[in-house]
Parts: sequence; structure tokens; C-alpha cells
Amino acid sequence: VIADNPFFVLGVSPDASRQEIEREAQKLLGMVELGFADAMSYSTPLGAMPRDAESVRAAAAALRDPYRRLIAELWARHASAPEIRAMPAPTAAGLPQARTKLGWGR
Amino acid sequence: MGLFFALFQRAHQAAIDARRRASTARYLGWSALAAMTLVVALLALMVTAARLWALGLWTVAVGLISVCALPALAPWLVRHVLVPRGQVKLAHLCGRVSSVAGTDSGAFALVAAAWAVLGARKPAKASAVAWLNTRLAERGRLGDAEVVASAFVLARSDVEAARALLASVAEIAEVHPAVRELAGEWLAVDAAERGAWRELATRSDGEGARWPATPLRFLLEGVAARRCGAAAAPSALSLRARWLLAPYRRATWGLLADITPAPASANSSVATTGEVAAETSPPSLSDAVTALLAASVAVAVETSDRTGAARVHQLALCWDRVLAAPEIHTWMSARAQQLAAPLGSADRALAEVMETVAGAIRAQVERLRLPAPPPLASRFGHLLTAKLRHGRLDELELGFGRWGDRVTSGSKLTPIDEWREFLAVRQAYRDVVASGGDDLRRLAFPRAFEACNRVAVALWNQREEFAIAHAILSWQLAEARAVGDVAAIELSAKNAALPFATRTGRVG
Repeated sequence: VIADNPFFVLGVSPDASRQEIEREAQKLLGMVELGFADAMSYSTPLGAMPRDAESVRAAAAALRDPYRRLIAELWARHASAPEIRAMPAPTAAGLPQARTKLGWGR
Repeated sequence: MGLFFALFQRAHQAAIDARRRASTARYLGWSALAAMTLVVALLALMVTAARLWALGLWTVAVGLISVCALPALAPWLVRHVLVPRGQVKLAHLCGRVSSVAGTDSGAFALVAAAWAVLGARKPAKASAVAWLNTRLAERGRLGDAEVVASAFVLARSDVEAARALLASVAEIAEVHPAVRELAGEWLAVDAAERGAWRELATRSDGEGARWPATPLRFLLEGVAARRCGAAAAPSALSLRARWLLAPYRRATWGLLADITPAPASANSSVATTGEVAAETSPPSLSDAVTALLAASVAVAVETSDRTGAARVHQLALCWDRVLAAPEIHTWMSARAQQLAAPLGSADRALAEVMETVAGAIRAQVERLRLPAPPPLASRFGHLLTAKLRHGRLDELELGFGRWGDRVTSGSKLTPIDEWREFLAVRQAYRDVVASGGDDLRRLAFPRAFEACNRVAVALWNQREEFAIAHAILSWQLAEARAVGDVAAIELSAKNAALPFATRTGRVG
């Protein structure tokens, strides 16, 4: 729902009008056909994803359908790049290397 | 001299019995008496041997020393000399003549040799491991000693699998106390290394009689009981006495310094997080989406199962509250109207979002092999539980089906692998039951019963592996009683009561 969200594929805001979306889709299709490096990938909160003509057409079609646009908007409006922090390991006050120290292994 | 050795044996055995009953005072008393009689017996032996030597009968002197002293000193020799040096064959020999070996001395010998493979300072030679495997194969049917020896060898590379195997020893009807003591010691040391004091304290409370303790385990159990604030925790003085009698005093000295009760377990901290979260304002949708993305990316950086489980639990709680809040419904309805979406689009879209989120959480749980988060009493909670349950039940049925089909199709594994496969499918069953409760237990049991029955009967009739077949049938009976399946109880009770012979006596 995020990596292939139509708003991210087309690089438009969730508030964009239908005309803006169509214009952007046509522009991207042309750029992809000509092999413009900038047009070959799009950014998402999960990182850059590859873009091709097929994904641009599919995204534009999805945003023409009000129901599919509703769902795509929900995700696109609220998704932001997550800040990943490894949760700290539970602090276990054990005996470090007990097996080695107590004769049960290296 | 013989009298003193006999007295030593008696006092030593009494000390072990006192330790098994967790009676520190008697344990100390009998240990002191055993030590005194051993000193006197050794003195008498040395004087006699010296006189024989002086008379020129040195061969008799050496023979006498070997016959009298080796059985008493063998356990010490194995632990402090042969195991660190990886002397597998000598450990086997000492184990055979050891005073603690009992009637089936081959069992303790096998485990002592496996301990030498595991505990050696340098990696054991491949030839020594091969020699041990030959001895293991020669023993024949699987009993507790074979399971423990296999687990010790396995512990060099796979600690988790060794832990599961050693914990399963309690279910094997063939009982060698000295072997069980070593298995219990490994489990205690492993729990101490992981800081799983509560696990150790609980086991010492509930299974003390089934898990005889070595002096080291006795000490670690005492530390665990003190840290967890258990009712039967030893006093500081008792704990110091246990420390004094246990080996590796330098390594365990640090445990005496900090014997205050341990902090609450991770599980309770997860529950607390949920409780606190329930009292504060609901998280925003942006928070929930970001948490979902973070969880999907975090799979690669999880540091332990426990943190993964906590993250998934928090994620489920967060979405549960977001999806139940009126804001998302209001926004969906208003936006659907602006976009001129068909009637009912908002509700349909919300259901699709729930489905997507539940699917993503299930993927996290499956990928990290986590326990399912506690059930939530909401529409989203029911959907999530159903998704988790459905996949796990399917997987479980497939697992049991494959297991039963393999055994009945004549494809044989070694007895220890048969036992490990049973432990694996049973663990999957327990995971499913833990996530789905009694309803799921009743759903899953018939498949488990059918497979267990087929496998146990094949192991009993075709391979005469009575001990593991009996253990499978006993578990099946306990499970049939738990779900109240009358026909299964009747059949399992009949099968589990069948008598059979072990190397330590008749069962049933």
C-alpha cells in the first residue's frame, strides 16, 4: 500500500486535482519513454522504487476510480518515513558466558 | 577402610537426597560427614598402600588405590580434569566406574563422554565425536541418557535445540538420576546465562522432585529464588553455604553480591505499556501508519524475539484504537462524498484498511515466528485473531499430516530425530494453542491426536522404542483430558498404561 501507492508513483500530492494527476501522468510517460534518469525511480517513505510506463498507467487508472483514490489517499496522507530504532534488548541480569565459565562449553 | 568407604557412600547419598528435597541444613550436615569419612578412608587407603609398597607389593597397592578411590573420585575427575581437556574416552571410562553411575553405568558413561565433547576448552576431535556416536548407537533404544548425550553434542552448535531436548528429558520414563542431574545443571547454567531467573525459580518450585539438583544447580536455584522473591527462597547464609559447596566458586561469587528481587518480566512490561496506552489519548492515524511502516522495516533489526513480540503487540493495540476512533470514520465519509465515491465506499474502504493492517501484522508475526499478540475485543481484534489462527491452524495440520504420513509410509529416522520431530510439531501445536485459546485447542487436537497415535503405535510396534512412544502417548492423554475428548481419553489411557521394560526397571 505504500511502495506502490499511486500518489507516490506519480509524485503528486494527495490534494492534487484530476487534471493535475492526468498532466503529471502524461509528462512521466513521455520521460520514461525517452529514458530520463530522473523519471526512472520515485521516492516513498520506504525508500526509492523503480518506475516504468506500466506502473505510471496503473497509478493514473487507480486515481481515476474514486474508491481506489480514497484508499490511496488515506495511506499517502499519513505515511511518513519511519525512524527505525532497534528496540533495546531486555536487560537480563544474567551471568555472562555462564556456560563457558561453569564448565559447559567454549 | 572398606567400612569408611561404605560410610562415605551412605553419607554422600544422604547429602544428595537432602539436596533433592532442598533441605540445606541436612545437605550441609551430610556433606560434612561425607567429607570427613572420605578423608579418613583416603588416609587409611594411603597408609595401607604405602605399607604394601614397602613390602614390594606395588602392583597390589596400585590396584587397591584404583579399586577404592576411583569410583569416589570419578565424578570430580570427569568435571575438573577430563571434561576441560576433552578426554572423551577417559571420561567414558570414569563415568562407567563412577560411584554415582548406578546400576546402568553405561548411561552415565555415555553422558560423561558427551560432556567432554561439549565442555572441552579446545574443539573435540572429529574421531572422538565419531567414537561417541558409535557408543550412542550401541546403546540401542532411546532413553534419558541417549537424549541428554545427543543434546550435549548438539549444544556445541545449536543451543536452542539442545535446550528443547534437555527440557524434554522429564517426559522419558527411563530414569537415571545422575544423568538427570547433569541435564538439570546444563539447563540451570543456560538459564543463568540468559538471566532467566524466573524460569529457573519456577522450575525449582514446581519440579524439584523431578529435577534432582547438582550442587551448582542447587546454588543457581537459590539465587533465582532470592532474585524472584520466591516464598521458599534460601536465607543469605544458606545461599553462601550452597555457594561454598558448589564448584566454580570464583565464577559464581558475583551472584552472591546482587540477590535483590529481579525487575518485572518483559511480558508484564508489555501489558503495562498497553494499560498505560489505554489511559492516554488515542494515537493519530499518522502515528499508526508510521508504526506499521516502522514494524515492516524493523524486521531486519530486531534484537530478540521478545522485542519483536512487544513491537507487534504495541502495533496491534495502536491500530485497534485508531480504527475504533470516530476521526477515521468521519474523514473517510467526508472524503468519499467529496470524491463522489459510490454509496458505502467509506465503510468498504475502512474494511479494506483493516484487512491490510491485519495482513501486515500477521506477516510480521509469521516472519519473526512470534507468539500472537493477546486477543482484542473489537472488530479489528477479531479479524486479526482469525487471520493469525487460520494460517497457523493450516500450518499445524500440514505439519502433523506430514509427520504421521512419513512414519506410516515406512520412512525411518534415527530415534533421536523421531523424538526431535515430535518436540517440533508439539511446539507448533503449543504456539497455536497459546494464540487461540481453548477453542483453537479443540479444533487442533483431533489432527494432533491422529498423528500422535499413528506415530506412537509405529514406534512401539515396529521399532520397540517404548520410552518415546510412551512419552508421546502420555502427552496425548494429557491433551485429550484438557479438551475433554472422551474417546481419545479412553484409547490414550489404555495405550499409555501399557507396561514396558527399561534399563532402570519396569514401567507400568
